[in-house]
Amino acid sequence: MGTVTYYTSDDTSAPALNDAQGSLGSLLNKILVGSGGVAYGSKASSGWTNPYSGTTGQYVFQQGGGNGFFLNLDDSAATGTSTWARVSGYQTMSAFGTGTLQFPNNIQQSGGLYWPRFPYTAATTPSRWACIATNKTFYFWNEGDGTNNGSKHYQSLFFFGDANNYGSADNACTLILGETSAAVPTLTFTNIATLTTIIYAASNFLGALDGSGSVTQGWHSDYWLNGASANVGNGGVAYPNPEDTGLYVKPIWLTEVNAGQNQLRALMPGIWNNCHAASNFTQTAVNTANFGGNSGDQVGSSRSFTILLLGSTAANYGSIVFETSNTWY
Amino acid sequence: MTVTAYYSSDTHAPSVGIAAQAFFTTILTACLVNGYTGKSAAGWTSAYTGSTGQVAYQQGAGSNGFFLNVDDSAASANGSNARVQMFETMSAFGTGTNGTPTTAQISGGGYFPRGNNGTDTLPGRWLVIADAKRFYMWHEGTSTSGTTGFGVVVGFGDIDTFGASDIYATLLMAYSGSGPSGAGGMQHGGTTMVSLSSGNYMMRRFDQLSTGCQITKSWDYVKGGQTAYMGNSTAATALAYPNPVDGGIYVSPVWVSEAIVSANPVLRGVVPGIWAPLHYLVGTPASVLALDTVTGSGLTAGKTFTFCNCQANGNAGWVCFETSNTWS
Repeated sequence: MGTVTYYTSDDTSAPALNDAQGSLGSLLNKILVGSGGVAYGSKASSGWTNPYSGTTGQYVFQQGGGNGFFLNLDDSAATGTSTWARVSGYQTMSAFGTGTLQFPNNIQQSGGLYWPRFPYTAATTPSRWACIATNKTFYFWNEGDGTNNGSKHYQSLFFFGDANNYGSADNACTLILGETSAAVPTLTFTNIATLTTIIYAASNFLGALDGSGSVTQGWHSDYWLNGASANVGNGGVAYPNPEDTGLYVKPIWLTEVNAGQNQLRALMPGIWNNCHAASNFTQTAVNTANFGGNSGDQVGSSRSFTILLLGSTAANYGSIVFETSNTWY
Repeated sequence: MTVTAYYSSDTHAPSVGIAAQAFFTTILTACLVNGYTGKSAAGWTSAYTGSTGQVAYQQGAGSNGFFLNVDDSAASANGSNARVQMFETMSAFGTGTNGTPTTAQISGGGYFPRGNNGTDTLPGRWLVIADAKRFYMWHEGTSTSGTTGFGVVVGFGDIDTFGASDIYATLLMAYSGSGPSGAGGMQHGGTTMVSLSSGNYMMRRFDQLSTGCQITKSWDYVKGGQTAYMGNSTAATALAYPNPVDGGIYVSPVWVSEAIVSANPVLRGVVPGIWAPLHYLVGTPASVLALDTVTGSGLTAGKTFTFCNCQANGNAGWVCFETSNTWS
């Protein structure tokens, strides 16, 4: 079980995320791999390795725990605004860009998914960012806007790593989420019979031996408490809940469809869905107030959360809740 | 707080025709108030009575202490009903304060439907689960065991509130019309957090002020197949049964919300003791049978769930009763 570490641009000695070639890759290399067990300042790195590299901004990261799969990240685009890295996973690798059982594969998403390095066009000062990581899973929030003022254009989420699979033979529930083009979309949940085009698993629920390779996945949370909205983290419960002044979050689950059957595959560790409207919150600082656990089921009282807003086209459509305490597993 | 499950198959359980006068009160008085050989009573009292089939039950120790007025005096007939209303205080059968649902909401009170199977007068199967604070009841609505299409699920009692000072969160889950073809019942949820569950009322709204609060019940809508009735979903929309990934059966807590004081819903609590099954269950042949029992694991470890079939407003469905002594 990996230890959870919360990294943000607010940390002392935190690396900057800006428009420079390789800036995102370099930052992830510090967080995940680090040097001598240290990411930066007093923050430990998360126990991944960097077995292969290419040119500037080209990294391969291997999980230090879990399935031990690989993330191929190409952040070599030239310095500049509107810049994106291209990413995909592999079950095995022998060099940067070379491996087997790529997810998503090039038929599903030619050249890999897009992760924002510096999507904004009108500033070059560093963006705020936040990341929670263990040795097998990380989630990254990028405000994507160097003006650091809570811009709503580019606040986005991406992730790579293992989910908490329900199937005992499921040894390939390693996921990657990214964009399908160089633009920040509205992140939406699916119903149980449909799949996304932005989340891929290394294999289907039967595991690596099944050999299915990359498959798309669905995901959902509590639909009603999310205000009957598909938008991630834009819930319908009054904030704070008038009954008990509580903040309510709900788990996020991963689903798959095989042979016409709708299947519940895994629980997403470390991220939760906000049951309150995004309009109740402001992104005035990356490290928003930590909320203690609420009285809802499955949450308990020992978890801490940070709410990060998600935005596109100048509006906050939702939010994502990072579980920043070491309580994922 | 001890939970007891009372079954029609218990050796000394009362036996009453599916649509007989005093069908509900015969069973509820035995389970809630008197007990019977082999099963202790759940700790309620019969506070007031009227003519045959008319009983006002008061909740027992640790509860809000409210009353359920059950008028089960209608003549025996398939398709007949008991009529129910909850009160905060009472002075005689049918007389009390803040009766809910109000006359304006459901004139004559909510409906507890008796059996509705042609000329069937024989006893059928039933199940009551209760502690001193709440009871839930299923009956098959026919004397032919294993037949679906007639099942009824109703209940009354305190929910588990999220607010520590919410002392009026007593929920009545009845039908809003003569059933089981009527709307509502325990199995009815909403289609959003602000659409209302027919026949489902709370004693007072969350701010403890006005009475007659119709609420919304909800559960995990996506896994459950996007339906407003528990266990009523299609193969195309719900989780396969059992979940192919792990062979598991997934159930969801049932949440209570209301949107009366503000347009944004208030999340008020969870209904203890009942769960919404999240799988495609209503196919032919049936995936489960009435009174099938499964045991929980993970977050529901130690709990036992019993499947009860139901019917409301033309919608077949299933509710899981938590028949183990594990509600709190």
